[in-house]
Amino acid sequence: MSGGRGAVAAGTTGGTTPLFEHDLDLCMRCSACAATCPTYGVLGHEGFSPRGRVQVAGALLEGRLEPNPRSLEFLDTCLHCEACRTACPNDVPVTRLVDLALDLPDFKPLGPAPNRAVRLMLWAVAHPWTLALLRPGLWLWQRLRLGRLAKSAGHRVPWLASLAEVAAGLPPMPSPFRPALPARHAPALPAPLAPARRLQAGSGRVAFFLGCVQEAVFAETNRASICLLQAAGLEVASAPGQGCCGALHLHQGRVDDARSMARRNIAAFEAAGPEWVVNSAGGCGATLREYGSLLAGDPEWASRAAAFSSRVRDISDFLAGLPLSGGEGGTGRDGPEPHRPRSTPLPLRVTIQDSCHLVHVQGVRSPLRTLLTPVAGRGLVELPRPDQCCGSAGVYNLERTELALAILDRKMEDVKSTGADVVVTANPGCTLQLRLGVARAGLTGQVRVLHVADLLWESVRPTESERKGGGSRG
Amino acid sequence: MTITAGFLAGLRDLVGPQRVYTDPADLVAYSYDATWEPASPDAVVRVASTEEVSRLLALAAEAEVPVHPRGAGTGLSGGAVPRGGGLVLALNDLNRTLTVDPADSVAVVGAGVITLDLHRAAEARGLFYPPDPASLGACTIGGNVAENAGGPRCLKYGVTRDYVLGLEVVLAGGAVLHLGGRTLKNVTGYDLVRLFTGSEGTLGVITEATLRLIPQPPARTTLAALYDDLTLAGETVVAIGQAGPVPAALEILDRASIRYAEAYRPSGLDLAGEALLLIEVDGPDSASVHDQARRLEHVCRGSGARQVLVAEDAAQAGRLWQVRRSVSAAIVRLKPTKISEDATVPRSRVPEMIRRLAAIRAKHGVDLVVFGHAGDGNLHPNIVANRRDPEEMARVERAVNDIFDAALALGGTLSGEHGIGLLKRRFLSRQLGPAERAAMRAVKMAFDPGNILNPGKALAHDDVAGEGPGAGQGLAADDAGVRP
Repeated sequence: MSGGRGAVAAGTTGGTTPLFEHDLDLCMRCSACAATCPTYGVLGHEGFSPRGRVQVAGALLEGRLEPNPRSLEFLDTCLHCEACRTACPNDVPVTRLVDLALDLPDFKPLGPAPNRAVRLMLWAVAHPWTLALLRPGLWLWQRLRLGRLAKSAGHRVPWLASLAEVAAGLPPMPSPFRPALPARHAPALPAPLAPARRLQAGSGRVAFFLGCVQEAVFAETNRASICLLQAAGLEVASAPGQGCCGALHLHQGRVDDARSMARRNIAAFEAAGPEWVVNSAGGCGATLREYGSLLAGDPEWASRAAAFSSRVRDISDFLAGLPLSGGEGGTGRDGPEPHRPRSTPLPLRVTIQDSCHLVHVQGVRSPLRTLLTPVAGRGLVELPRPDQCCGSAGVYNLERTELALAILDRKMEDVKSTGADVVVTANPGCTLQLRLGVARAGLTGQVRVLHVADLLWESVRPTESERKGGGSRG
Repeated sequence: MTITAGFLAGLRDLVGPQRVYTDPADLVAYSYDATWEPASPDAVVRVASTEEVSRLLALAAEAEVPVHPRGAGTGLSGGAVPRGGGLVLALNDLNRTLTVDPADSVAVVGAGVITLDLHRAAEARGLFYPPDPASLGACTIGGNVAENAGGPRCLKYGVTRDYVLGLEVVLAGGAVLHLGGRTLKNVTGYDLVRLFTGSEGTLGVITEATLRLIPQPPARTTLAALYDDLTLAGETVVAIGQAGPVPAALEILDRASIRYAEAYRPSGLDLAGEALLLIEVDGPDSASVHDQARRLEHVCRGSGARQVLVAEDAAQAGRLWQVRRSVSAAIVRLKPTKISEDATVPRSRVPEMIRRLAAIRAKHGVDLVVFGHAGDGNLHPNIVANRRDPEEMARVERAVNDIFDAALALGGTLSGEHGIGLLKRRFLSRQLGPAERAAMRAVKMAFDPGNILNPGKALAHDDVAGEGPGAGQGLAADDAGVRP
């Protein structure tokens, strides 16, 4: 990825001085970035703007400024949302410069160790067996209302309290003693709508990347995505052995951990042999698309990683790229052409909070609009700053809870101004953060936060009567 | 310059300790604007009300501490760079007032409001605030008024000063002035509104502006005219000026600008040529716009355009303007340091200025490209260089020197819209004689006898040397020349 401490570390092994001079020289100090930066928007201080961070990083790297707690604060509060990169006319790699400066040895004693909540999370997502326990664990957490307990202990154990804040946005977890999905989902998640057709080689076989948190916590979103792909007439292959993408580890500078996760995923999907690797988590997708550069220095894996990355597509981008309707069996193949599932308007006013690593790293902006315009029966209304980070930013909300909440509250004011019933986003971290925001803003019950695939599936899925009649609108 | 502990304690009492900064990292963050020569202040203070500005300036006057007012730090002449040290007065928090009054067609705007936010607020009421400096997404109204900012639309609609009806200004001792008002006509007393507009923070600190708004023109379209000779494009500018209609914007790009922009972000249009004119027309309806476009197409062809393209739709117009917007970014791919001049000539001399710029480019062997607001003679010759190469930078400095001489010889001015600031002070005496400079010095002395407000900016250094704490350092640094 273009940002993230890990990406920097990956590229710094061969000496970086000329590189940073070149990067610094690119900045014309025009400040086109300032208006897009959430931390500058909340704090209004130049040091918390992208231009300020570039200039402070430059002063540190050139030895004009000694690393100290204040310069650490400027640099370390960067969300790595990459909004500045999109706004910059010169494509200044802001986060790369920030991370280079933060890698200066003098910062090491000043930098706080990753807090316990972060370490716990990084450890958990890296191990399939902990993930397997996560869902029942969260069910227990919700049943016993441990969140309240954790919050009340917040003055003594702040990391536990910040974890509880985030966990409050989780959907109700199904009981581990009833393995079937909860009843309310039953009509929504049938077996494949139409029998999966056997498609000709190269005609669009897809495999689905589940993700760790996404699959553990938002399994319904993954199911909805898969149903949408099947409704599009595609065969969705499974890829056993896949796991966490490694994004959080990469952003925390744990590059070797991220590389081994990358290798595991690449191998799993090679075995499945799909043409496309579709995913429904914007942050994970961005990382998957950067495996090529992450493993570029590994002779055994470089070309495999590049090939894998080139196949990765976000669910919105993928669906919006399909033609509107397929000719039923009229093409000479043994199935219909893959096509965009037809949606019916829902009586909803919808707004979109672009997920940073989907819009700014993967460059996916218009597909969400294309897909949701026919869904939003009461209109698709843009937020004043749809592509500005909500403050979730990986584990930022655990590390910098106060600033993350200030950014979130500003975002919720924007949401209120749209009068939307549904805020659509495209990444699990954003969903959790925005649900917390809805609760903080007193909008519980009025505003739902949904992944784009969830809402799309609501508008595509057959009604009960259609299902009973055996019809499929796929 | 020294700031005493007692003065800092007074500041902290005034605005609270969390808005006074002296950490070296904070000082780096407030050491620059969009030019290339930073200077560290001794402290930075953020203010949130006119009253705080007033009490702060009273303190600073008493302690003789230089004060450098700063909006968003997007200026292109060094106006917000705290050379000589002292205090950076960050005004971007004066952003809570933004009211649009359709009944009077005015907006009342805090100095820290971002220009684009005013544009949007006006548009929401069907009104229009035309000044559109390139940095409008970041720059503040206070900075726009202090620098008298322009932009492409000034050809038809005028610059910032044509929209300032009233100002709230704080003087060096803390006195708060309310000047002008909400009326289009107003001849009561001296026109101090105009005096403070473009005064570059040297006479007072602007805290609020009352701005004139006009009806939004609903229809617009874009033409692109391609030439085999840059001078013919320049002659077209003169012809359009005489034959009309007045375009909303009239921008010129030379061959190098077109080539770099197209290589950077291809427009998908066939724009190869020696020169490109981009022309926007607007009006009350599509018939009027269509008629203007037809007449301008005729003028362009009559002046030697090889090809004229009228945008078929908003998307194609957008792609054409994308070419213009890409130039700045595209040319720094060639060399990283961009020296953006804005010497300006009368419209009739645009063709001659173009010829002289070509001669300057050849004489000094510099990478000079021409793209800018040709319609108002504000050509923006840009030189790209490598600031880490002293020999090249010396050639650039000689070329810049010649550009100023050429503009003045043609009856033009050192700066059309960027201001004099720090960068052009040493050229000031080429345009202004002793009598003019004495008159300006008298104005400065009348408003700021202690020379604490943006000392050493805008006026030639010999006019303020020895008068204030910041003047001496300014002189020394100036002798080093144009170091972009």
